Amino acid sequence: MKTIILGVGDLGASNTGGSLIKTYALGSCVALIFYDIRQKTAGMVHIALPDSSINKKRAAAKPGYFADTAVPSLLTSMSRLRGGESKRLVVKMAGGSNIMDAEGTFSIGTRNVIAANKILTAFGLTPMQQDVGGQFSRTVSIEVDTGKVTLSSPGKENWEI
Amino acid sequence: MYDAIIKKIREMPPLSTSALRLMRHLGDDDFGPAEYAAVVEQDPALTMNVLRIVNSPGFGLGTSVSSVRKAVALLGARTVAGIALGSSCPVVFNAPLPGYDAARGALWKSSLFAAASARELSARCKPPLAADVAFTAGILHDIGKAVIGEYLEDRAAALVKAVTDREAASFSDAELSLLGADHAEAGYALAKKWQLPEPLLQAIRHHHHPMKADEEHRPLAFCTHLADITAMSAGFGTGADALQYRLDPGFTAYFDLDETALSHIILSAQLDLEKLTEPFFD
Repeated sequence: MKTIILGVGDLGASNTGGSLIKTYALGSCVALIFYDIRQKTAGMVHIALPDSSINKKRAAAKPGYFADTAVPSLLTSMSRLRGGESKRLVVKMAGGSNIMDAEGTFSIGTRNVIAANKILTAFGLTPMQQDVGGQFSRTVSIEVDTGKVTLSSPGKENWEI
Repeated sequence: MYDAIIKKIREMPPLSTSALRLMRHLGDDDFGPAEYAAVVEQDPALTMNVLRIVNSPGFGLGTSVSSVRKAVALLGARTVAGIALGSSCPVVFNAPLPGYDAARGALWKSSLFAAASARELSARCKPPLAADVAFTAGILHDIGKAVIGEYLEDRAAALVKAVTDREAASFSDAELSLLGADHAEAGYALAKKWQLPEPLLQAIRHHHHPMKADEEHRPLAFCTHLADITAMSAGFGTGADALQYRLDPGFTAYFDLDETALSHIILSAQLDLEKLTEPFFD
C-alpha cells in the first residue's frame, strides 16, 4: 500500500487505488479529511494555526499551515483530480487538543477547530464527523479506496470516525 | 526502580568538553563568534557536524561553507551549541523512548522545537531572558526521558490512563508514582553529573512545576515550561505523554502573551525546525 505522509502544514489528495493518506501527532493541530465517495478521491490537510494574516509569505509557501488558506487549497487540489466536481464531499475533522489550561490562552486546538469550521461554512461544507478536543495527540489516516478514516493515539486502541 | 535509575545516570557518558564549554559561555557577551569558532575547531567531530549541517540542502544557503568561522557566523552561537549538544550525546537525543511510545529521533526534534520556541519566548519575558540560555534550556529540558524511558516500557498506556482517569494530575506525576522519580528529576540528576550551570539545572528540574524554581531562576523555568507546551501543542511531543500536563498560570507574572503572540512563536519555531531537517545522527 502506498502511503502519503503529510507533515505539519502539508496537504495531499489522491485517487490512486490502494493508497493511504496519513498524518502524525496532531496535538493542537487539526486534520481536515475530504472524501468523494463516487470518484473515490481522498484529501487531507494538517493545519497548525487558525489565521494566515500573521505571515502571508508562509501562507503562500504552505497554504495548508493555516485554516483559512488550507480549505481553498485542498479543494483546488481535489478538484484537479475530480474533474472540476465540487459537490458530494464528505468532510471529517480530527485533532485540536489542548494542554490543561484554566485560562485558555494556550487553547490553540480550540481556536483551530473554530477557525476550521468557520472556513468550511464559508465554502458551504459541514463536517459529518468531528473527533476533536481533549488532551491527547491523534494520528489520522484515510484509505483512498474506501474513505475509511482511522485514528490512533499512544496508549489507546485505534478507532474510526 | 529508583536505584536502577540512579545507577543508569552514573553510567551515562559525559558531555563532550567542547559542548560544555560552549554552554558555559552562552549569554556571555564577551564570548563572540570568533571564540565559539575556536572551541568548535578544536573538536574534529563537532567541526564535521557543523559543516555538514550548514552545507545541507535543508539549510538552503546555496553556497558551500568550508570554514567553521563562517559557519558559526551564519548559524549563530545558540545553534552551534545545540549541534554540539545533540551530536555529543546521541545516547540521549537519539535514544528510542519505548516508555513514551516515541520513535528514535523524536526527542531531538521535540527538543529543537522547544529550544526555538524558548528563544522566541525569552524576548517576551519581563525582564527579557538571555536568548541563548533559553534556547539551551529548551534543548536540554527533557534529557531525563532518555534516562527513564526504558523503565516505562510497556507502561505508556497505563500512565496515559492514570492521567485520563484523574488518578494522576499529569504524566510526570504518574512517572513519579511508578518509578519514584519523574523525567524532570532524572534529567536534573544527569545535568548535575554533567556539571551544567545552575539556571539550566533548575530549568530542567522544574519545567513542569516552574513555581518550585528559586525566584531568581523562575523566569527561565517558566520560559522552558511554556516552550515545552508549545512543542507538544505543535505536534512535536515525544509520544504518549503529549499534552498530559498542566499549564501553570503563574506564567502571566513574567510573560505577556496573547493568541497572536503564541501563533508567531509557534510558526517561528516551526520554520527553524524545517531549516534543521537534515539528520544529526547517522
